[in-house]
Amino acid sequence: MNAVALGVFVFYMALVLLIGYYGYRRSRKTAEDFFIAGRRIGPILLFFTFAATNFSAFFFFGFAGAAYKYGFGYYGVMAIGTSLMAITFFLLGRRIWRVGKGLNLITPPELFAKRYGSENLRLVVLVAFVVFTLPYIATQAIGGGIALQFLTDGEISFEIGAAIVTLVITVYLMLGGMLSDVLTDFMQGIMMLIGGLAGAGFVASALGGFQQANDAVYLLKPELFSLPGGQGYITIQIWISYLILWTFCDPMFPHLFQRFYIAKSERAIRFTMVAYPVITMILFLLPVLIGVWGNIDFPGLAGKAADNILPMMVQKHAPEWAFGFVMAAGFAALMSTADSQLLVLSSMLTKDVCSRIWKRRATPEKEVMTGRLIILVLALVSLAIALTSFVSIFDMLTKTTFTGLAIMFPAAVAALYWKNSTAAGCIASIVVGEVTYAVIFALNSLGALSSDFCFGFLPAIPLVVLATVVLIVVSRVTRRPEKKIVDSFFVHIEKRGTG
Amino acid sequence: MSLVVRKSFLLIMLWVAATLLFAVISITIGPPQMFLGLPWIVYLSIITQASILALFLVIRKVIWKTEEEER
Repeated sequence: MNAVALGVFVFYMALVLLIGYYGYRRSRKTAEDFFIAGRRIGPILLFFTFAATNFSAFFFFGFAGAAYKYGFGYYGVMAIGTSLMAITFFLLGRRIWRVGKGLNLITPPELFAKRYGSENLRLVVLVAFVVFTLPYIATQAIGGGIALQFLTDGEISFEIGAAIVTLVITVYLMLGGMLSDVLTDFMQGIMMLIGGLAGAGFVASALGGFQQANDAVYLLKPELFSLPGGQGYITIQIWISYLILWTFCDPMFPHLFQRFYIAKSERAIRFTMVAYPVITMILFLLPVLIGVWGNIDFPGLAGKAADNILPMMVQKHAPEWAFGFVMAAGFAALMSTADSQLLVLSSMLTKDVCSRIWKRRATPEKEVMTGRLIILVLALVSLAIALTSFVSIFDMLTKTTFTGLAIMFPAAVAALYWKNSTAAGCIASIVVGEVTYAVIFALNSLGALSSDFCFGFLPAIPLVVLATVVLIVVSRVTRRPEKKIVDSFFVHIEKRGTG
Repeated sequence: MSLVVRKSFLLIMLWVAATLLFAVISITIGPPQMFLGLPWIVYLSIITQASILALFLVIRKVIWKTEEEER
């Protein structure tokens, strides 16, 4: 076992718990404080929590694996696509923040319910968010188990590893809720940046520098330096599809959507919007470089084996402490996503389900206690999913998450921009889009559809178009919500001049 | 939608369209290796991301400011 690397990991876990406890000491006992940190997160913390939350285990391990197979084109796909999220910050984020503050919203489904005065829409949005988020928490637990097993050369089993990571997340989240989440995200974001820089630096140095490393790979696999890249994967259609997909689906992740509520001011959102493309520009290049260079030392890896290329390269070329730090940064990536997902699901089940049932009996203390209990239950459920044979079912759901959430994008835009849209239009848009996608996915799995039935584009593109058309048509033929409901929503958006 | 929202929205859509067009055209003509041995696509990505910052600057300094002055 690599004792130094394990020591770094243990130190990281202890630090996370300590920060979580600090968050607990600083927070108050209200639902607003526990779930959205009392809307008092400033620009720097907001930026780090957005970045750390969005960059999951896939960012650290999956990116490098994909770059190993497909080459530098993958950087274009991911970096440009994710930085386009800055545009959704601009178009959606500021408006979500304004109505969130004005109407005292805590969960994403609350926004839809208040906008249209519709409990049915609240339920549809809630179900869609839960279905597409819960499997993702399980994948982070799986990533943690695999990474800890790798770090300890198998002396800590996958099951124990997944349990340790889940336990630590649960403890600090139950203690301080969103404030602990944000503070740990800050530390985890910095760790990811330093870990990525250190990993790429040590590997580049061992390979003779950037130029030499790239030259060596170019001699071996020149296709990794141009499009369509290795295996001919990154076609123009795929590239454009991903650029559009990230733009639509990222803000619809409920844990990112909820983060628009936590900002202290609109200035904090503007700062995050501008800083986001800069950090993705730097951060995404690091695992991609290591992944591409992996072809020099470990040629011929296929399938899932390629996903281990980053730890394999760092272990081979960096000192033990640096390997430990880079692995801890990998844990930071997956934990910072899983905790936010647990918290947003807990907030939705507490506020949109329990508090609706309790009505006047829902006291702030009761809501916070319920939120904590739900975090514990969800953590146990996700761990159970990660450790059982249900994994294959949830793996399928995870694969559908991005498209499933992108389908909800037109409804979100309509809620925030189109006063004539209706609850029925949003419900129809989401239901028709998701059901159509389920049918396409099933037919595709059975081999009943040709691989290029969307002319080489991802199914998300025509499905978002379909969801938009359904929303417009149904909104045109159904009754609008009462004017006072619409006005009470848009008054919070329109009282500022800049839209 | 107010005029300022429409103008901002239009500008963003124009930027997205131009970016996609530029990306599609340029990926096939760029050299496979440039500075530090990295391919053109890496620099293209960096240029695109930097241009997002320029876009926001234009929206804030031109559209929003003009609107506030007109009011």
